[in-house]
Amino acid sequence: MKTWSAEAQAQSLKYGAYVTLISGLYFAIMLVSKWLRQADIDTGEWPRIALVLVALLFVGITARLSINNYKLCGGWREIFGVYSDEFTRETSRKANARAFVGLLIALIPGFLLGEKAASGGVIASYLNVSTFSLLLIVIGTMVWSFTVLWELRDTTDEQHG
Amino acid sequence: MDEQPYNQLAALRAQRGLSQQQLADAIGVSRKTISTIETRRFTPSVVIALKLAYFFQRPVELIFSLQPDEV
Repeated sequence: MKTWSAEAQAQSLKYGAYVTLISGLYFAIMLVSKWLRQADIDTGEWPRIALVLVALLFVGITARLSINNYKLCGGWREIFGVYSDEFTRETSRKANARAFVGLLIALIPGFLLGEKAASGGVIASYLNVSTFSLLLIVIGTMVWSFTVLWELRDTTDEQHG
Repeated sequence: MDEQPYNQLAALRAQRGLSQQQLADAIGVSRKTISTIETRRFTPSVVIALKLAYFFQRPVELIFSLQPDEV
């Protein structure tokens, strides 16, 4: 099995958080755009322009992170979050747990509002399976990526303590 | 109550003239692991504590302690 160094694991988790954050931003724009359209607010072409710009940013960042960083790739271990480095593993678990709690917190009012939405009205026009799914994606990706980036925030490498 | 243990890692590293990266490479962890232990943001497992003790040739309790004046 190919070695995946501890340093590469931490770095790849950080890059994963950047990519996830940009994905979350893309879905957040989609969600806001849907709600604004529902509220009859004319946003023109701005949501589409923003989506294209974020998509380009995604491609750009992914390409940039890929250049000369093939050694960071952990393959299936990276996909399933199987980290051997202790701090990276703890950070990944913490982010997963917080994202899970964030989703649960969103699901509770979702259930209550869903009951009301079933009978139609204003709530039903803003809250449907599509928008609620987008909301869950946005919450999950944002909480996960911000947790990872916060935990992996830079600290100085002091040469002599 | 703050249960994060105090440690002598930064001082021991300075004595040896090692950078965080060099110490991390020596015991097989990421630099982030070392830096977060030093700043008491992360409490390492017994395995890492023993690896550090072995590396510095000192008992674990001389590197980690629950009281600041014990280390």
